[in-house]
Amino acid sequence: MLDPTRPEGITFVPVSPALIRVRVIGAIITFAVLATPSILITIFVDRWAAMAFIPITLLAVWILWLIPRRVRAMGYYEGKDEFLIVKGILFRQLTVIPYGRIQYVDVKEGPIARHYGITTIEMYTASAETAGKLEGLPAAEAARLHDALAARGMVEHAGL
Amino acid sequence: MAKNAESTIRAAESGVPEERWQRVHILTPFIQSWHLIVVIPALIAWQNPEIFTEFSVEDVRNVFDGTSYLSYILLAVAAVILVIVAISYLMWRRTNYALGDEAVWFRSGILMRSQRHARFDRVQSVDIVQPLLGRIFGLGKLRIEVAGGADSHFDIAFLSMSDLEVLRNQVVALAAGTRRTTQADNPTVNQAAPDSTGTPHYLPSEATTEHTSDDLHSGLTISSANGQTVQNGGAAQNQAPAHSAIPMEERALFSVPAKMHIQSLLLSLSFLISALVLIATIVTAVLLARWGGAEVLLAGAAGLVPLIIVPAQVIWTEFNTNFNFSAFASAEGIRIQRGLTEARSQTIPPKRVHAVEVTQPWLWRKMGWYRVRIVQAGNAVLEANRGQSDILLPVGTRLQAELAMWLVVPELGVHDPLSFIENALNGANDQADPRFIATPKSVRKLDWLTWKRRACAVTPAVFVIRQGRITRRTAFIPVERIQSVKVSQGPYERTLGVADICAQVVPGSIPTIAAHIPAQHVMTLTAELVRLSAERRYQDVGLTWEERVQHSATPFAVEDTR
Repeated sequence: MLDPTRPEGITFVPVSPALIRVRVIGAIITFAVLATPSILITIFVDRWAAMAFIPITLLAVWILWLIPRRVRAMGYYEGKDEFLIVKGILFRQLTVIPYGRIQYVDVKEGPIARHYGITTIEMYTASAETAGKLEGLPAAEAARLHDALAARGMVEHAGL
Repeated sequence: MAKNAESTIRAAESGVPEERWQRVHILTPFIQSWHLIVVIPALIAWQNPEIFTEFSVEDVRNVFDGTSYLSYILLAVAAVILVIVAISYLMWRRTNYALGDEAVWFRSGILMRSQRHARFDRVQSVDIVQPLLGRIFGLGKLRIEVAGGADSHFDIAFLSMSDLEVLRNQVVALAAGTRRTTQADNPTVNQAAPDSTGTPHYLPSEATTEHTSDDLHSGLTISSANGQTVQNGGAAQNQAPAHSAIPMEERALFSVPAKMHIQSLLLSLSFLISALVLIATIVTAVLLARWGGAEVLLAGAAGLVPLIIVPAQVIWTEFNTNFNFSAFASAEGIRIQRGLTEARSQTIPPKRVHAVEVTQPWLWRKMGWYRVRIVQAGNAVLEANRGQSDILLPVGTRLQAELAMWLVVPELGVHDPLSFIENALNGANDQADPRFIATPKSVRKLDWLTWKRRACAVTPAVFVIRQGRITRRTAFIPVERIQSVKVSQGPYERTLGVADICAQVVPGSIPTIAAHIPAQHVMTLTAELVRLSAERRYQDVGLTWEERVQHSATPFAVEDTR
């Protein structure tokens, strides 16, 4: 069926699968932090505290199942005049950002992401709602995109 | 991670050679987090009041013997402060700025490294800001405003005042130089009427002033016009060049008489509902009192108080803010005067308006009244301080609403603008107007209330979104103001074969989402919006503001004769 969030004739470049690992590690850390109190209480105080453990575990399992699918659904494409970003499986999104509208590009990497060699870049336009965030780019690709976007934005900018 | 000669490329560090990065003042982390250093001992003291109540000289003498509890507390506090100082030192080392060839760069962060740059040709203003603590130490920060929406400034903090002056002059000079070369290189960029919010304000004398009337700030003075009748202004002045010596007088556009204003406030659904609830509560209290006695009445009276105060407060605020609302056309834009207890005057340069919405609440339909709101581009700091309004016309007749719209959206790009507006404001999907892409009947399952009114239209000049059944709303977005386009589709929408298009503009209170558009239209619409937006950005803007307001009596009618 016709998918308006995936224009025809465009193959989106997927982000690096290392992002899956980064997100999984982040999820596991969060889960550990959330689950530790209930684990400790279960062991030392009262066995029934394990009941608190169950919903957290279910949530964690669901999120861990979801992460690889979400990451594989993310992609980008450098068009002739615009930059396209897609994401989402159930709630699909396509963001089209003309190069001339890009005000600046932020580059960020957290400690875990740096270990796996991936980076996040975020494009800002004059609109606060522009979802120009792209995670999971290999560091070299991120650097290249950063320079390319900045250069094209400068050439084509036309005020507000 | 192998560290070979060409060490792993850190994306957050590219762009500027290492030696050009400079450090900020060493006191920076202290100023930025002084409250932490103060709060932690204060917290400890507050939670352990024994420190003060059971304080004895013995304890002080025994501090260094390690036998009094005071020594442990001091140790803990010292450890915490040490940790804070260590982290601050690391952060200080990683906070750098640099003046590159085309942009000013700023990077910071130890774990979460981030790097930002602002291109010189995007710089709008360069200010020196001194918070209180900075003033004590003689430090300040450089605030660089970049053309854009809410979060569009970044600070280089903190540097000594002399360093700041030097840096500011450098940035200003580089920005001016870059602007000159880009103008020379890009003759297609419209130079006759420079886009107001893209014009940088970095000339040293202007850099610290706020920029409202920037578009026509370069001393544009226009031939005078008699404010009353248009024909008198006439042909002679129309041919006068844009920079003649006689200043333009203000021309009255529209105003809201007090009676109409009060009536419009009373004819609002929220007021009616609160009045009904109030009456119902009084009746219930009286009935219950007959059954239960006077105490019930007293209790009911207590509950009545908020029911009276809150709606009264809302109505009073609205009345007070927009009392005597009048709009004038001046050389610098639309000047709006309003207010009862606090008279306010603000000027809106028309190019600053990025979207217009015309609404008609249900109870105004019989009176034929409309309300016009706008989205203005501007610095977030400015808006917060000056309370700029987003109302162009709080209540007005259809003609006044059309005039208000025409002021900020000069042309609609259709050959029959008046009937187009009629369809946009009051139309419904059962009229087969080919210009409007309507939501299909299947959307009834998703939105049974308003699906018949939902439609959108793209003309070469504007993107129109029509929605709302009880309160009718229509948004007009000039295509050149669209910053980016987002297409989204939820699971249920996928089964119905529809999707949403959001034309993203600068932050404002007008919704710009066209919901539940059939999928096949979505793709063509998106492509067209992006294409039109690019084309219009570079086009000539036609008549200047002065020419428009002087020789036109009836808005949009001018287009009919073209």
